[in-house]
Amino acid sequence: MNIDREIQNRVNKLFNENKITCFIGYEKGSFLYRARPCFITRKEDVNRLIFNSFCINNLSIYLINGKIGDDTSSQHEKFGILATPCTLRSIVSLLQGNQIKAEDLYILAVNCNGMIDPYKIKKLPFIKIESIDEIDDKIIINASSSKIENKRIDILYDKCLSCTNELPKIYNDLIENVSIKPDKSIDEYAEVKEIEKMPPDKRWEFWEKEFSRCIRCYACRNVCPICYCRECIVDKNIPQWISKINQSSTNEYYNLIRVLHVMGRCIDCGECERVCPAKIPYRKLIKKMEKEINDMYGYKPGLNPELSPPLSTFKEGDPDESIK
Amino acid sequence: MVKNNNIEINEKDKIWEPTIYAFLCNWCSYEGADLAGSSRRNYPSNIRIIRVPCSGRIDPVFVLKSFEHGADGVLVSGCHPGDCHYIEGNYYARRKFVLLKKLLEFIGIESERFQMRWISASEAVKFVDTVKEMVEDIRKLGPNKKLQKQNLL
Ligand code: SF4
Ligand code: SF4
Ligand code: SF4
Ligand code: FES
Repeated sequence: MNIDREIQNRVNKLFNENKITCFIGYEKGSFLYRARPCFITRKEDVNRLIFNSFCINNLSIYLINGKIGDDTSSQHEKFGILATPCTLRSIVSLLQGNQIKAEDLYILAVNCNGMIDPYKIKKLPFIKIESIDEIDDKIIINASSSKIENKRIDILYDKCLSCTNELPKIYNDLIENVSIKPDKSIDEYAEVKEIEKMPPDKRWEFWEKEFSRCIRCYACRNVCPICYCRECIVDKNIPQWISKINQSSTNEYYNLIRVLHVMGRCIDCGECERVCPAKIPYRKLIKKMEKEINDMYGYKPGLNPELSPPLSTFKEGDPDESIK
Repeated sequence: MVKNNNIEINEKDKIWEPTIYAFLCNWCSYEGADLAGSSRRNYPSNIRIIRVPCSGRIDPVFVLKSFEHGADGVLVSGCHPGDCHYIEGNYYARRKFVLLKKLLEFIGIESERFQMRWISASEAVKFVDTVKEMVEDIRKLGPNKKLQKQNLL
């Protein structure tokens, strides 16, 4: 099955049946190892749609930054969206937060085979690539002078290695694609546990060094589908919670606040870490909170829109050993 | 990166006393502190009390902000579970602060520096003991330099 054609056919049908007015998907990027989000509003453009192992962007962000959340203009727009498991799980979080309405949306889900991190492919920027073939568990890059063969598993994004590939059943239609089976031998919390083992001062040293690089570009916030606040705490001036001065304490403060705000709803799409120009290992913080929430409240975000996120609810017998 | 130069001065170290910010719920813990005062029990003066309507009103951001502004320790205290004046404020607070504590520990803040307690209006003794215990623990740890705002001058 040619997955591009399959997507194009189904989207074409959606336009024909007047089910959508705009489809959010991926198109070819400026390099063969890039794909970029695109908005298809006319039937003639449907053939721009593609899907491959470079479609990393979490598309759900466009549902809230675009018109759909805006009551004044959403009346005429019906959005369709191509949803990988990551995108789909963040849609669940958005539904829970009443940020989007399920009726306004047509979700075309697609299984994911793991996304490839171009930074993990050696020599990539230095060669002229003619084509990239994905054959089973191999990625073959054909360059003018050479052929680079990579095992898929070696060049996947970290988050994909421990992905369970679960698709919450909120989609309207599903395209069955080959999908990786989660590798049970990989402990998704291994990095978290490593930090937990350090003594407090070492941990602080580690994080202080990481946070000191933050340039407060807020790319992490802007790309995050969960950071949908109309006015973010960092933009508030009265009272000003976070100083705009870029110094290590305010950077620490900003990053910690963001973790506190997204925990329990963050679905670990890894976008914040991916876009960070300072390469701050944000996922370690996210994973830590995810682990604690799962251990204490038995909750995994992004799977069931019927459940309340863990911080908007409680149980009388919640664990509280640390409170005397 | 050198932080808070004025704390680094040796002389200051000698007279350093821990500062603890305490966010106390109006209906229980603040009353407990009040009772401690009116029954003339002594407790260390290192504590700065901030009265809030309910433990549910306390945003984890307040705690981070306290550390940023020079607190050596932060105490959050509310009514016992089931006793909240607003029925369930402290249940939400419990989740928030249990997780905040985990996060603070994860980034390397010593766990003694942030404490949560349930203290009712009649538990003046518990309040006094909590403050004494915290001050002692934090005195042992020394001044907090983590998360603290730098002096720009
Ligand atoms: S950092 Fe917090 S306040 Fe800012 S957008 Fe994200 S959730 Fe909202
Ligand atoms: S915090 Fe990061 S990993 Fe979590 S949902 Fe937002 S962008 Fe994705
Ligand atoms: S993307 Fe990175 S550098 Fe930019 S604000 Fe976020 S953490 Fe800081
Ligand atoms: S009123 Fe005391 S915790 Fe809510």
